[in-house]
Amino acid sequence: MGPILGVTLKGIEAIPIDIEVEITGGLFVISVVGLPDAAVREARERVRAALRSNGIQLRGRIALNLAPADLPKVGSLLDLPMAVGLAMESGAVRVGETALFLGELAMDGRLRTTKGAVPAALLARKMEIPLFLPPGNAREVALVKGVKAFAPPDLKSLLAHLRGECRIPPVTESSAEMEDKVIEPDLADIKGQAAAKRALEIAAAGHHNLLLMGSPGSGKTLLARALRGILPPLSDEERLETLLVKSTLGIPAKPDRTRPYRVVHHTASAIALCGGGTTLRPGEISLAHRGVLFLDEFPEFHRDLLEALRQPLEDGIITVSRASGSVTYPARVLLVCACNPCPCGYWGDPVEPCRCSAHTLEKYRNRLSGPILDRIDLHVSVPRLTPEELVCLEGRQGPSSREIREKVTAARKIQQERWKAQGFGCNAEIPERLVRSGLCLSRKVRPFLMEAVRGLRLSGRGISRVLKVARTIADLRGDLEVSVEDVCEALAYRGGGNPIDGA
Amino acid sequence: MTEREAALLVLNACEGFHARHLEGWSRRGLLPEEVLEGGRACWKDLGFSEGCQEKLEGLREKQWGSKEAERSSRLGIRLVFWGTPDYPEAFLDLSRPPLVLYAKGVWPLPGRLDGVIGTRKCSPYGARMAREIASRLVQSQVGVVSGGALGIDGAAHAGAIEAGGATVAVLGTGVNLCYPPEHEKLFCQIQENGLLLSEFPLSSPARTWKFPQRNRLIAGLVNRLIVVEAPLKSGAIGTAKFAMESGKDVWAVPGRIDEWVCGGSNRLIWDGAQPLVDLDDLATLPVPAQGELFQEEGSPSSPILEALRVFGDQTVDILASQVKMGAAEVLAELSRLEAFGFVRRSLSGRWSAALGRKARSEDHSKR
Repeated sequence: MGPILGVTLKGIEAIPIDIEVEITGGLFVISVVGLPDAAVREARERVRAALRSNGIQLRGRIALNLAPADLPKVGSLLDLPMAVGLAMESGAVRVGETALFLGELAMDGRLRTTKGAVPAALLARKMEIPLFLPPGNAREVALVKGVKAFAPPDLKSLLAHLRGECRIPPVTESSAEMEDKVIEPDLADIKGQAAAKRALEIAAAGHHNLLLMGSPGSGKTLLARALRGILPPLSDEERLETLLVKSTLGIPAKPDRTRPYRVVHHTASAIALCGGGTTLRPGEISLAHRGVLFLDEFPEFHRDLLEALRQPLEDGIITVSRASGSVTYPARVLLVCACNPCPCGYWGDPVEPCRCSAHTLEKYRNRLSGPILDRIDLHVSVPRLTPEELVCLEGRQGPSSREIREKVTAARKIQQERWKAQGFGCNAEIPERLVRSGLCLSRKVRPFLMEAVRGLRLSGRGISRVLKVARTIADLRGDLEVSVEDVCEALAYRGGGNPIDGA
Repeated sequence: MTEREAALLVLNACEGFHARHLEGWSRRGLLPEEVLEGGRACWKDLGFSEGCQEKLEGLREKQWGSKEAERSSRLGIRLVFWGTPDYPEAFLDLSRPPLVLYAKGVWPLPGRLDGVIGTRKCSPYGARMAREIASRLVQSQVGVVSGGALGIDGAAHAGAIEAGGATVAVLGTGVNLCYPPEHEKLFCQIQENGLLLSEFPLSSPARTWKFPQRNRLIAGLVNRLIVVEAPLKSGAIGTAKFAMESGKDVWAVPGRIDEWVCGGSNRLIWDGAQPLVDLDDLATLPVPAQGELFQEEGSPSSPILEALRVFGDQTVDILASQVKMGAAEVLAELSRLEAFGFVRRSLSGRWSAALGRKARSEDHSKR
């Protein structure tokens, strides 16, 4: 392996690319081999201009080989290693120890921000070699611990550094803390809907998927938005995972621990949601990794789209296979769905009559009772309050988002401690085999559950969902043991096997 | 005597109010005591008639509610209020459930009840049959329900008492009155082992419109209704219609077709009532189990359940503010009650008290 390495991205993984340069006599020409895409091929013009503006004149017949030769190279992030390789070959600089270079070049030699900095940093850390990258990417790489990174502003200072003329200071690690700001809307400002608020709290604490069902104007979307303000901060590990996905798309990272929150419209394509495309990019579900994926007007989504969500919801990863290869993206999301109880929206409303026919209701119900609902732990009805009821609740204010977030964060810590050995971060991730053994149920829970199962007609999957939620409720209380009360409350969020059942 | 109980007594005395009104008010966030205290502005807003408003005002000023309660306790009369666990579940299904029941005698009556009703001007054959049927019912551990009138009603009570069983007379007057006066002795006997029941305030006199209204209570209480002798136009036929509409079994004793008093009961048979052709059939023919009158196991005493019983469907928010509990506790309690069939939930996020536990176990067995 030569001393100069670049990277190309495969999914969220950076693959090292060896840059080999040969200059022979002849007419001036640069050829790039090793399956470069258009952006890589065009790099030669940028590289030539950037080198020239630093006083390095290229002459002769130049061949650039990007190894391994059979791997397609994508994007402009190979500009810098190619330039350094050429500079070394033409004798302008000597690179002693192997280093990773990353960045797009401007004609005058400045370094432009590129995507893929975080995967490259992880690769550099693994290979224990220094990384040179554009200053615009320094902020996200600073969040990766244990990597020796340098961010020269332009090619000139990089060459000076490599010659040992003047040292560039390494990028200092930063461990940004969550800015303690209140994210609008605050839960305290939402009137009523105590049940839904409680469900949000549980969802945030245990990362449980959530379904909000209610008439138009009942506040489903508002509640879903308020979830953002009570999510626990990302842990170091989790933040790195979200950074990785963002970095492969070149989305600038914010230096805080806010969880991602992605809203998807129902006209989205399967590729936009799950990832893919000709150049294989992560979809919304991966961008929402460790955060919230919100599907408003859930039944309007195309059936295929919802079916495509099934496997990632179960496994927490999504594998996209295309002719150009298959890549795996992380996809551990908190799915929040909102829907109306019927097509017209007023089914069961105390004021507005429902105008749906039995037939349309039946059709709607079939669309709702898909397998996705089976993977949603918390089902909550959001009643539309009558004006009188709103007046009745006047002056009663619930806890603020900040207070709830503190509770949620404490509960999440307990979970992380408990499941550390098994490698899970929250209760929603627990596999079936641990639901039976690892939840610390109180001795009274089992007989109560037997009775309840008979009365409520719960399925096997339903029971384990209820138990997982009960575990989170106990964690919110800070209790080691799941009590009957916890199970009782969890049962309230179970949702029927048939959602339209029972008036 | 709580404020609510006093309010219920006053509203009940104003005639024409029933539990469905309370449910409507509660949807507007009004408790019965608040309605009573609301005064004319509130009453007008709720659409009460002028006469009704006057009456309410009069009764309220006199503190009539608490006085009535005092009188009742002096007379040994038990008051059963809508929304309390004591309230007979059978009445929850009625379209106009009474707000208050005045009960004099042994409370509660255990087990099943069958109705034996008919005309006042019965034939001697009719009276004999009523007496016989009642005593057979008592022998097979079934209580008897009837009105308080002369004729078939009286004969039925007498038969039950003779056989040493319990019998319930549902009256169209106040329970402290004896109407007709001829039945003074009979009513005393009924109280010893059974019950006098009325929805009308103490000392309400007999009025013709009260009896048909009372009939719905009889139809609500019984598992099976047996019409002994009744002319075409009579209260008994009205009761039978109530019973049929609410899905109760109706039986009729066949009579001669040229006799006026049997016109209605014979017509019932034509309309699908079960003809009673052998007294032994009473015990042997199966009667579908229907809502038990008095809750045997007793539903759990829960403030949430009570609130739901009084005010119909509610959101968690309103419940939480009424019972002064947190949302999480309310939810936990609701699903515990739901697991045992005491409450139901709707998709629109409202909860209501289940009408009868039987309903669910029946549909359970169908599956």
